[in-house]
Amino acid sequence: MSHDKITFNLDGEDMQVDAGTSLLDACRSKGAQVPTLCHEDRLEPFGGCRMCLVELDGAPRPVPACKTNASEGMVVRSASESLERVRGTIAEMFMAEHRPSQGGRPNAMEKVAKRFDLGAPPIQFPKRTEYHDHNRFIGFDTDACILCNRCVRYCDEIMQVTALEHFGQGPDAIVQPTDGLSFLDTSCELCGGCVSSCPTGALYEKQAQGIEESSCETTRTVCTFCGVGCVIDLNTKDGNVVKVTAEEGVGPNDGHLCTKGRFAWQFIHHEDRLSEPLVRGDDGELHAVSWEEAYARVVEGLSKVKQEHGADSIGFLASSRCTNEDVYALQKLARSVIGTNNVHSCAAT
Amino acid sequence: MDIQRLKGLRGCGGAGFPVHIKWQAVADEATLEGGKVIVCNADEGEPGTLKDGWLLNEQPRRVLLGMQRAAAMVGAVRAYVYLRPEYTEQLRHLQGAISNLVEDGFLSPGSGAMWNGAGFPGREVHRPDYPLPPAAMPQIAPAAATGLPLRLDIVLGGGAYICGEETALLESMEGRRPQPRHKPPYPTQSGLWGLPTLMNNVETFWWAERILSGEVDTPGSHRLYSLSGDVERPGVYEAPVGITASDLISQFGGGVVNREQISCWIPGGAASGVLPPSCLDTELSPEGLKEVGTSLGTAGVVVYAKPTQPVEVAAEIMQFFADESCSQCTPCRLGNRAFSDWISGVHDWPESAVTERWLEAMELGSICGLGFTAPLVVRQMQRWFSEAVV
Amino acid sequence: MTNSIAEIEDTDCLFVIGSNTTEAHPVLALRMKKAMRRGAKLIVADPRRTWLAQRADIHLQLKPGTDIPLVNAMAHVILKEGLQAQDYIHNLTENYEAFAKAVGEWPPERAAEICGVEAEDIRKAARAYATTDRSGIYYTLGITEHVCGVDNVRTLSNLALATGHLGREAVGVNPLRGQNNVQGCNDMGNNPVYLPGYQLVAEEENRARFEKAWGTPLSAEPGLRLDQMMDRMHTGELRAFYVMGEDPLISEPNLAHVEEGFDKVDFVVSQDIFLNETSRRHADVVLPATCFAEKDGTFTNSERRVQRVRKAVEAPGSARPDLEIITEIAKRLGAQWLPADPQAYWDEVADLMPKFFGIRYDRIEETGLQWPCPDRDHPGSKFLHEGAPIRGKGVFYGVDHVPPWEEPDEEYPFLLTTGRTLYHYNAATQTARSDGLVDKQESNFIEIAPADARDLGVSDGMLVQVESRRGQVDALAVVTDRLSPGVMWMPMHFSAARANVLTGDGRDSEVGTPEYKVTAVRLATHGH
Repeated sequence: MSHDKITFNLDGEDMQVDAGTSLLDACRSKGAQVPTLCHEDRLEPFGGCRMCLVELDGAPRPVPACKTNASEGMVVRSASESLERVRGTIAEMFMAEHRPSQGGRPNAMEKVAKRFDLGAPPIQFPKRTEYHDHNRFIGFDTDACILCNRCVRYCDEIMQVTALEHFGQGPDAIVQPTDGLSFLDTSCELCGGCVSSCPTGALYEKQAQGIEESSCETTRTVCTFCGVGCVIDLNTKDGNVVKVTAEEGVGPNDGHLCTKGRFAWQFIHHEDRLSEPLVRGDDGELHAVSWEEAYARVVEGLSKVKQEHGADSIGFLASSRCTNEDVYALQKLARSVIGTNNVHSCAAT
Repeated sequence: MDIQRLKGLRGCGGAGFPVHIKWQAVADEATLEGGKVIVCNADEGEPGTLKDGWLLNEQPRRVLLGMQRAAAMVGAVRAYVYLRPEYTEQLRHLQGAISNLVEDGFLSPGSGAMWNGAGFPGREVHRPDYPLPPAAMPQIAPAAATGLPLRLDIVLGGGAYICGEETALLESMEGRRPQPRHKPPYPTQSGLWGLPTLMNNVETFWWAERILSGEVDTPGSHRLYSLSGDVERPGVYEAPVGITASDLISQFGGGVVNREQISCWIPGGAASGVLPPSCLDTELSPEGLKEVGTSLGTAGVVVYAKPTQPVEVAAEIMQFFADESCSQCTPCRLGNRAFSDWISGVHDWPESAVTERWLEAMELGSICGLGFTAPLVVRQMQRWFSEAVV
Repeated sequence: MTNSIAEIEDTDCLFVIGSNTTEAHPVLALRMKKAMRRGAKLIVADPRRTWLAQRADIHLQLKPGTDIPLVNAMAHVILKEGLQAQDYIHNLTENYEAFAKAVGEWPPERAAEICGVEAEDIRKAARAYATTDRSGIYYTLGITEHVCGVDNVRTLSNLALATGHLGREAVGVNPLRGQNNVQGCNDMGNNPVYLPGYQLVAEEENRARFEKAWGTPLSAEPGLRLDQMMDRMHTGELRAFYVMGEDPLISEPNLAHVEEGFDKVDFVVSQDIFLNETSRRHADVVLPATCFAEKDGTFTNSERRVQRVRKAVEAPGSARPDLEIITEIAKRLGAQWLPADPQAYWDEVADLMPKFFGIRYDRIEETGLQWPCPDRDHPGSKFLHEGAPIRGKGVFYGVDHVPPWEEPDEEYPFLLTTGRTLYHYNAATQTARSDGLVDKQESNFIEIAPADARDLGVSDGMLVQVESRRGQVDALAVVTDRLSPGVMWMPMHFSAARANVLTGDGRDSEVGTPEYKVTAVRLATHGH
């Protein structure tokens, strides 16, 4: 990595950036509004959508800002009448094919169309073949896909499992799970990264289908599975978790999630959840009781054993799934209230 | 010095780039580990063009010798012929010529290995079952600094029009979806596996060999014309640059049945668009064709007699471009599709301001030549056959 | 982890041993994938040809339980070829001689024979690890769940000390924690010998600090480890058991033995979000707790980062947060505790742990902090041992091979090793309730090498019975070349076929971690 500085001219002003800085990043750092669709910071620049074209002196035609690095002495214009017209026309081309999905997902394509104040496109291409899949996590609305390849690139570059492909060419080109199989039958690990990278909501979470994303509240917390500690946002609606998302640039996960972290939250509201204290009766079965009864039974049970066999005849086992505060309290209970150091967890690592 | 002898010769693959500049550029590049690369683009796919296939059947040794000379002059140690997969007869001739050149000491033993370049998933390509592209740059025996003897192998193309675009061709050779790369860097700087790469068309190497061997001393004075369509004797003919289409047709093609019956013609492959009979006396040269709005392209001259309508020819070309768009960039993918639909009447034309904007977006916004030259077909229709388009 | 997760992508040589990272820590593995894409070298030591192993520059497909010979032989090569970091060893370590002597006895050829790998691959791996400036070691339960788990870790630490791959960015010895808060659970003193913050309970001044804060005298007697508790159930010495969020009846080894123990306990409390095997069969009281989405608090991840957990939804029915339940019980047992406010409890414990003192809720609202963080202005510690090992000098250990507790023999000829899959988590109490995951992986399976399958007449998808000396479970056969002949692999997630019915009593002699990774088994096809 070079720390050399490059001086170039952007929109009439000289600007200094690190060598290797893309024109897109340079434009953004200066506050220049350059529209993008296929670009995602976590992915290598693609340059396919052509929304971020900028003018470069000496180049035969505009260049994609995402895919062009600043170099010494360049003269670049991020806006002009011609650029505005070309970008707007390309957006119009997209809208000739794109059919926004229903279901409340944010759609960058529609936003771009609005930004260029587009009316009805001059041509409407036919609908694509619908895609049905029996996996329960990831849905695909083919007509909303704009072939930006973000999902394909996410799967190739970040997950490196190549479970999605840009298939065919020309009017028949589509994105699909590799070889047209079900998501369940490819090398797909159901991480849902493709969903998170889709700008139009073409790829979507089946579990959250139809839920207006803007109507959800989000609570930032930490994933409950492995020890990586991914920072997640629990999206809730009417008191229920409906989706898990993660923000780029945040936490050890930098916006990435695995299949468990993103999709396996049903247990939270599962009907098997314990909702009342239970006490084993004389019949040997567990029966629901009030908290007071349950607490009394715990106190009685622990006290009796302590009295008869001593504090060290009681053992405590904490879970590595609970919070620091929970497990701190448990060992404090063992040590300071019961009076034993018999406290352990399933700590193997 | 020797490279300068090529001055005047222009690439015969369509773009017409001066050959000596390209060769010099590669010669001037530093040699990386892995060496420099020569690629012969034999993925002849431009409709109306058949001279490369003809050459590979008739004179494969000369084409290969041209590559071998190029390697010696730019300092390349490995070379590949990227061959259109339908060219099975040509493949046989190439293989024969390679083994002769190995025997004669021009090419290194082992030359002639084969692999299949990548194509588009979902598009069936009929070709023998050769290995997939190597995962990494294959090791070759250490070669002398001169590049002698040169290692020369064959890659069968991915079976799509865009594979003939030089950077898409490189992607195909490396085993990826054949989508054109963004330039710069140019292949001369960073081509196959990131190595400096000299890529020329079959005919270009053939001319280079003839020039450098002293057989031809006026580089660029002649071309191989592919003459087809409604002429008496279609074929590949060597003729001067600057010959008129009329003369080409009458002197070489045996004439058209009836000159009054010509509906339209194509001067340099499908991408050069459609011209009216009134232009038949235009000189087939870069300058002459520029006057009528187009270029010499691949020198593929196609003659259409009535009742074929110019708009039918243009529609077929636009349909071809729409189908063959690699679908990487939006203006090419959707622009060609729209013009194909409009010109063929599947959809009604919008107002002319809209078509003008769409043509401009394709010209300025596409990644490669397929996208930014396709509008020429529409513009030529607007100029010469305005009644048929908007 | 001595180093941070984000640093992994800057590492130039990754030595992954006993970790199927892409399945057990998928998001952390993305950093490894990023490093690989950049061209980092990858060495994988694993009995299975995992996703990473398939892409490794060197895959050391060792026999389970032979990590010490392998790593000692790597160290042998490093010393023999003079690749060690002489200055680092000289200035910052001790006990080098014992280490040099021990590894001197492990030339690669000797290890190769025991491990079942090529001696040349051991050499290549040693050279790659030692000669790359940014080399990191990543391990998980494949290293620790052995009778010699602690010694396994010591050999890895030896390797890092000998090459000076410690105390800088993108290096280190990095255990990847299996559960969201294993790190925190240890940090918080859920350990029979440590008070919170790794302060030995046996030391009087430590106890004094806690006694003062808690207002009660503390026992100096070290407590029982989990495995010892299980044993004392049998002897009648452990009469009551309070289990919070665990299911020993699926997670402990040799389950038949555990079950018998539980039968003898007078009183069992289970505090959990679901009924589980333990509570269903043995609990006298079951207390419904809240899950992570229903409470506030903190988790500490593998890289020692304390991060905020926040309540997003209400708990079902009358379920209560664990902290509240414990506080209520303490109160009823006569203790004077603070009300159950997580922040107050965090402050209470942070005040008592010098390494955590600077971490407070107001500082981790946006981004978590990594301990050590001794004061309120400290930015936290991306990596440990900067400049010098924390204790002054890094200690080398001379370690010798310890064979597994149980090895295959004529009667039980196959070596079974167990592990996790991507699609389930531990006892699968949560993941088995996700239909979408169950679609991907429905029931128990056992991976069998093609040659073994042929010999046994087992075909892919066939239901087989896996038997050890302690029990038997059913599994669907998955015939795969991921394994070498003689070795089989089974996940530990499925309650209908608990892998731990099979596992044995081997445990690390120092910390009691069970040897889940090596069990001798035999196979029977079903119904025969």
